[in-house]
Amino acid sequence: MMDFSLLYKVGEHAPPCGSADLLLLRDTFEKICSDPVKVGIFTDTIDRPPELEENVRYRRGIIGDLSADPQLARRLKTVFARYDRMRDDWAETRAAASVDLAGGAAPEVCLEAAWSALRRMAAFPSALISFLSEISEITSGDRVASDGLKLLNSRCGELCRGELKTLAETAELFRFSSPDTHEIEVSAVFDPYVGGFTGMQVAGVRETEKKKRGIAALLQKRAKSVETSEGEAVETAKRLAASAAKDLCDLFASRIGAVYGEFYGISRELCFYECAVEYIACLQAKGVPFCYPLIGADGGTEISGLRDLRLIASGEDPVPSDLSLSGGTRGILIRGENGSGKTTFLRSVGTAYLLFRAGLPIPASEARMSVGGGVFCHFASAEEDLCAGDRAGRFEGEARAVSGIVDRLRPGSVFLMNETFQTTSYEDGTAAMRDLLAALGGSEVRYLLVTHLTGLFDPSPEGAACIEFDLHRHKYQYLNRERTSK
Amino acid sequence: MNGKSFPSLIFTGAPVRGDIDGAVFRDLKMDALFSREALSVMSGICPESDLPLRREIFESLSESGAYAAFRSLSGAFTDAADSDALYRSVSEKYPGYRSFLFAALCRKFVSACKAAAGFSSDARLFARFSERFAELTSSPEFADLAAAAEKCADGSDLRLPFSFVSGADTVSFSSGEDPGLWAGIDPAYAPEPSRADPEFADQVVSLDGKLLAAALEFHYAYRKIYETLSDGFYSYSDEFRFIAEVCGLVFEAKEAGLPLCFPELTQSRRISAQNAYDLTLLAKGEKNIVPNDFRFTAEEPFFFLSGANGGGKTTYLRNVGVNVILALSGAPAAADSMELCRVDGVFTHFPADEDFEGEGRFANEKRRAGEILARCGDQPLALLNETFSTTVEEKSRSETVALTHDLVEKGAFGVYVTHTSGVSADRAGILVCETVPDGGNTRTYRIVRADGGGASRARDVLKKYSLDAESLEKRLSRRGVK
Repeated sequence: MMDFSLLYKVGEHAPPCGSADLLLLRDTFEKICSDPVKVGIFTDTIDRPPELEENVRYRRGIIGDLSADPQLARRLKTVFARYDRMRDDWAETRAAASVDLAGGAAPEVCLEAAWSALRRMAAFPSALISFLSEISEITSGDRVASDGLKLLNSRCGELCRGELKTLAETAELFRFSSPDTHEIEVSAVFDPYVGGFTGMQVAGVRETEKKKRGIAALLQKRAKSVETSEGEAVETAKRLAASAAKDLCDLFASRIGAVYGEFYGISRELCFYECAVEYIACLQAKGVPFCYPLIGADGGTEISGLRDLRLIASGEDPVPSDLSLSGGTRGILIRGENGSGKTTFLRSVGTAYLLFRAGLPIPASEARMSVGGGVFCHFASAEEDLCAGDRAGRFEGEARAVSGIVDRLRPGSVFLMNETFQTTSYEDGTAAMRDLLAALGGSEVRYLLVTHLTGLFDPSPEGAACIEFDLHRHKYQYLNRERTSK
Repeated sequence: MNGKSFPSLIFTGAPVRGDIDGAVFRDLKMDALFSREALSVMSGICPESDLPLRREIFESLSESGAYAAFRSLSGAFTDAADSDALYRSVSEKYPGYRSFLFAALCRKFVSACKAAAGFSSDARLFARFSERFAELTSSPEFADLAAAAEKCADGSDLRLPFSFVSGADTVSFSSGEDPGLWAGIDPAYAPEPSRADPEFADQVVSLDGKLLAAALEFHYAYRKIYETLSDGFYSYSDEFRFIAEVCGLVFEAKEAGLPLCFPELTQSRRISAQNAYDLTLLAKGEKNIVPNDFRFTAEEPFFFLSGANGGGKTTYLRNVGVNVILALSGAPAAADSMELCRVDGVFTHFPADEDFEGEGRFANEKRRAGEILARCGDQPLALLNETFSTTVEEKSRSETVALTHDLVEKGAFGVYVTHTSGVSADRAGILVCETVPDGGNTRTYRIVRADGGGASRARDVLKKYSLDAESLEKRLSRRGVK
């Protein structure tokens, strides 16, 4: 069964891009949200942008519901936190219930131990049903409009009514049973294809007082029967009954585990949404224009009035910028004096990509962006710490890091580079970067490069727009007409 | 031929084993790539005349549909072999249980033989194999066994509940339907079946007298027929594994973007490869495997290899050894291209564990070197790793040179990794691990001739990380972004 998620409507494994840290997003959001644990979960989540548009829209819907009713977010968080604790209790019980039947213990000891574990495990299905009912109640009626919360409601209802109900009813048979007071029926299937006699299963249990009537009725229905009290057969039967009880206990454990697994971790996902609600409230409080970008399918990006979130969170009023990275423009080369705003621009663009792809609004007046492919950063300043040492080591460290990113590029990826390949000679660095940009320019990857390798600008690589930042205005101007690639 | 009447899948004549010692596979870490069974097959050097036929096999399985059909056939043989082993493992004290197992076994045997008869391939050795099974399956004995096995119940639909009353210590067995406690529960979550001991199983299968009698009768009537028909049948196991594992490795190498080629056979004394990859690094999960060339000729059949620790010397030895052994098995090698002449043995001399049974390390090395010299034919490949490094330098040098001289005189190709300076021998070249020429110790893992020139440092680093223009194009294309 697939795990339920409030982050992904369609299951996908989004690996971390490793960009959130380089873009200083944890630090930025700690200025917006006071709980560092929530911020940690939030930034981990936005560092794994979903590939599918459906998932971006799914998150937008949930953010809408929770922004409109902050009480709903708190109630869900409380219930799911309790749910997670109960799941931990189950895991402990499961570990304690593991019975070693292979040891040399006497058959009756094995049987009692297996049955005791079975009794403990049999208590969980009904407890689980009561939790799911509560979640279903919280998300019922007109309280929610999003697909995500409606799906949560219907899935909980489905589980309570369906298989879990049957499992709970079956489990009730065993909650108060014991080999001393109950008759245990085990069924077995002969399967020569897997090695003979297999499929020991507890097929029924009933109180011993009813034995005569129960067994007599059962045997009458069957064509053949043999009854024996030979010691050897009884010993074997005890062991098999213990084994069957253990299997049954494992069944309850795995089935309950599957349901727990389905919702376990939702409380963590809700941290993302709590932080998202605070982020939106912060933008509203500061009067910063924000928008949910239109979702395009061409891989291009157009943003107007983009502001750097880090400066906003620090109480500054950043200069808004525009970005046009669509059509034949595959990349942007950025140059300018130190302190002219190049890195801030790069950071604001990277942040906008991550926020948008995480399903969040971005601090801009309007935008159109595309989903999928991941957002990757290579910031040379970060490499310096990792590869302190001689120039050969630093350059090799850069090459290793860039190579690792190239391995992860996919159609739609965005690759942001800050002063990459400047740890070798100017000539070698320029040549290396030209090769890289030529390869990226003919691909479905978009890139931005902040660089002091001015030789890259004349001639500029195919499909690259070149811009230069002005030290005093923190604004840029185009140095070339776009050279487009087919 | 395999056994009495079944033709080998990979040899036209009698299968050959044992040309290459197991220690060679361990030294080259081929045991990380192949099972013991597959290595056992690879220990026999494929006769030159069979190499094209092996190539046909691997080419025919390079397409995923054909490979899937082969795996299915191989699976049918494995099932039958497992069933045969289970049947033979149960004591004759339990005749009922054994009879049911025998019925199941015969069905699997029949099914595997029919699958083999129907296996279609253009590869000549496969075609011969199928023809033999077509002949077998059309024989009256086989048809008789198949029909009887089909009719005989194998117990697979026998459901036997029993009740156990702990207090009264009684057990009731009864045939019939179980009460269906699990109705409504997803079968995927039903308990895994567990196997009962044969004694209990025998007791339970005895409940249905009619079925039991039929199974006993079938066992009695067809036991000898089965033994005759299946004689030699189970010796295919190793060959199936060899073929499947080579194909599996080929698919894995392709997925990792490594080149693969069938070597060109040459009558000249020459082994060479361009951009060859050490496949054992795949098993270690290495992503950026650096390729190397190797070239052994009549004029220069042997090389000394030296350089910094961690520079790729041992990897180079494995690269040469693994690719040559694959080529000698008729399998593709991991290289852009390869040329191969006849090689009649592969020998390795790697540092041994500290267990010399009374002799010292040097004496142990000397003895093993002597064994290689004694066993090698007239055109072997010898790969030596730091042999004679555990003595004073002068002695090490003289022993190294003498051993190399003897090997070259024997007609051996080879590489000798050594840290001993000043070694040289007639017709032996010198290789070194390339490092970035900036005074540092940065390795490129490229092995080059000692007199080779160096490219620019940055270019080398970029090449090492596949960031040069050509590699970038390939990588981005592979990732579907171009």
